[in-house]
Amino acid sequence: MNNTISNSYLLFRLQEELFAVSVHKVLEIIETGDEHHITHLPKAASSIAGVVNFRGDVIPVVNSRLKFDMDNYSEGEKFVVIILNLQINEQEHVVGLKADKVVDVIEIKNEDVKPIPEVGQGYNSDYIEGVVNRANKFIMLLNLENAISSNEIVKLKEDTVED
Amino acid sequence: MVFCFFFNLYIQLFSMDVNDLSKFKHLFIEEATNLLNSMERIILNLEKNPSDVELIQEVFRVMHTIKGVSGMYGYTAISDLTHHIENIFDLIRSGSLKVDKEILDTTLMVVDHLFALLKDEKVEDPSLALKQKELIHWCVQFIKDAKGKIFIKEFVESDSELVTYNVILHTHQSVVDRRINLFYAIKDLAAIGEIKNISPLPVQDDNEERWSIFIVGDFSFDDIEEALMFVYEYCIIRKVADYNIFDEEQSDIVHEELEKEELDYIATSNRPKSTVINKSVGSNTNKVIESIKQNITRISVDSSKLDYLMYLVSELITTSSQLNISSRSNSVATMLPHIQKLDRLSKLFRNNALEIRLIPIGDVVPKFNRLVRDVSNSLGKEIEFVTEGMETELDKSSIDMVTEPLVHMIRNSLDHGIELPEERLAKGKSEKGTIKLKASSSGNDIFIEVSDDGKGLDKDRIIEKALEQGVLDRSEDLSDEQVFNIICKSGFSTNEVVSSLSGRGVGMDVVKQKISEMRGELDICSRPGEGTKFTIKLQQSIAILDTLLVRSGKMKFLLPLSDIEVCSQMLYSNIDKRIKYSTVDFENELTPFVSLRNLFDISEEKPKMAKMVVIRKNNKRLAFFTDEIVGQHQAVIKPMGELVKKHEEISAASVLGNGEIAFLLDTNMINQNVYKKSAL
Repeated sequence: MNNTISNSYLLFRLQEELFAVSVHKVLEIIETGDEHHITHLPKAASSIAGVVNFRGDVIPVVNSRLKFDMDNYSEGEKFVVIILNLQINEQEHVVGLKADKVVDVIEIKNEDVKPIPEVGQGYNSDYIEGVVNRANKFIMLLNLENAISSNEIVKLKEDTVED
Repeated sequence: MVFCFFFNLYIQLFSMDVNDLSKFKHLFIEEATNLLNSMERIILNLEKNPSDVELIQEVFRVMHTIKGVSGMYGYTAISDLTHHIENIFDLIRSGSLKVDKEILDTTLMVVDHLFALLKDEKVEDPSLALKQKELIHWCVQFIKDAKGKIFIKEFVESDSELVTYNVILHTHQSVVDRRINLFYAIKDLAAIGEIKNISPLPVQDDNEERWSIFIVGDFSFDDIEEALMFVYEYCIIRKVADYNIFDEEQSDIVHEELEKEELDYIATSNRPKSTVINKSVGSNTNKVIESIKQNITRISVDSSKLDYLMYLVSELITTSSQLNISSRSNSVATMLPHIQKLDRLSKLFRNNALEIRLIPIGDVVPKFNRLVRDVSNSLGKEIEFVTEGMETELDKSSIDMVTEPLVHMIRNSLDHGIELPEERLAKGKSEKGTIKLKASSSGNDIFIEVSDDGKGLDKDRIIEKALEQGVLDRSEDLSDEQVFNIICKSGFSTNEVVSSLSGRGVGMDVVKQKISEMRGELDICSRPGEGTKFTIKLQQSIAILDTLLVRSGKMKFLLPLSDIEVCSQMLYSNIDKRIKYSTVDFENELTPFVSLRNLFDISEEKPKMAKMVVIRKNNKRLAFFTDEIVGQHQAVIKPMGELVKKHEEISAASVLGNGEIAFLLDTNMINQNVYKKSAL
């Protein structure tokens, strides 16, 4: 196995946490910054922020803060929508993901990806593939396919104890 | 049709680069597929009218065409086989032979085989190669026999010496290592007697193969031993009978045996089964669905529709150049008429495009015919398949989608509906059961019915089984409709014996799911002892829908125009008073209603008057209250993806001209929910 292969990842922030998702899955980033671009879909699950018109198609947008069990965006708070093309059960799913901010695009070497730490805060390995330490910051590599296809609110940390 | 094909091909061969054969190969495959599809229809017709000279001629011509052209493209296996079939039909044509069941059965098998050969030009699949040999052998033998009969005329053949042997050929790696060609062994076998049946048997791993071969002829054990000289150590040879077990009277026993073997095979292995010359009933459904899907990659279009399309294109070009010129003038007034014309043209284009996509449902009927024929044969039931209204047209995508549910429904009728002949006679019905496929249209709605005159659904048995299988938790107070809906639940099956056909508990739930995916409705109607009728209601076109755009607060919604009966208005204050009753008085009729504001928790400030849209669904009225009726909208329906698929009230979305999104209300579901609520 060649560990020196590196891949490009899009780095985004949700509250204080940094997350990474492979750039191959990213179709576009909509810097909307305002709520009006998302059409509210009544009676949908709370983690669904609504739908957007993306290149003529109607695609759902996931409110990632609610999906990952964080505090919701406050009124007027800025956000971006990352449009992703995910392969779930051999089918293509185009979905939008709300994020606070897109931070960077970085190269991550495969050898730098560490398995999630087993001690301390227990991260849920269903949704996090691994962690990377960059400049003393932990970046979580998300398994968005699992997170999105789950109908539930996803708890990234298995125990809810915060420090 | 056949000559057309020739003509087409030659025209294109001469008008384009002759060396570039690969392009035409594609064309050949498509046309050959069409021809083979027509063969199925012809042969099934021939079965009904065995002496129809026209049909016999047609088979001959089709085989002849395929033979000629396949040779050109290097499909030698195809031209070989069609050559033999052509010979047989030549004899029939000249009157020396009569059409019988054996010939027709084999011809159908040949058609299936040719379909497979189209995909596997070089015959790389060993089971295909084996089948090829087998079929050709049959043809040669048949012609030999036939010619013999012609010479001997009425002289009776002596068949008292015939014996039947069964050979189990077990080939594992060592056979391959020793580079023994099994086909020679089989060929040698074929030389001493007639190979009646070759079928694969279950194996433990992928490197080995086991075949069961039945051989009939006038020979001794030593002869077999000699024929199998090189593979003798891999064979189990046993004598089955001192007569030809494949004779008419005995054939049933063998079939039973084989069916048992097949079941064993299915039980021990999940690998796809490739039965050589035995009918493979188990995979029939999938085969039919698969072949229909392949069938409609190309559609034939009425040339007048294409002429109209050309006319529209020329209009479009003129209009756009006019628009270009007038846009230089900077005045809206000069541009406006052209813009209006463009608008009108795009509507005409839309209608034209939709019409081109419409194909008659009858196009898939031969496949259903075939299914009924094969399955009823193997079940020992006598069934007539009747069709009506097959000229009814449906969108191509709808045909693709509705095929699978229809196959399941027809098989349900075959398997569970129609009784065995004895049972039918005992009940005072005619021996022959009937399955009817009927299609009709009314407005934008298409109705497809599958009905049978079988035993009908047994309510008590369904309830009993449902309780047993845990899909139901109470048995009292169930309406017919509720009971019949149980059979659409996943994991439900009443058939005790798991046959290779159905009764595996998949079927009706797939039907229901597929139909609701198409926003259609399924209605089940059944009378004990008289039969069952399934009715599917579909929209003719599911991609574009004429809708009414309404607004509530900031949200925009769409209602299918075909559902709408009347529009009116009412004071919001009056509606609020009636909200707890969910009904309003409209035209002196107590009408259930839904306020979109209430349904979707829209809290923005209310106008004084509410607009009312009354729809009719399942013959029941329902009123919608909203703030504003914006107008008509041709909605290009966009699914919203798996994430929001389970939404009850909203079935899809559409993008408006200004980029905004409006939601299509699922009038079916809302209507059902409202009436369910008011029934409580």
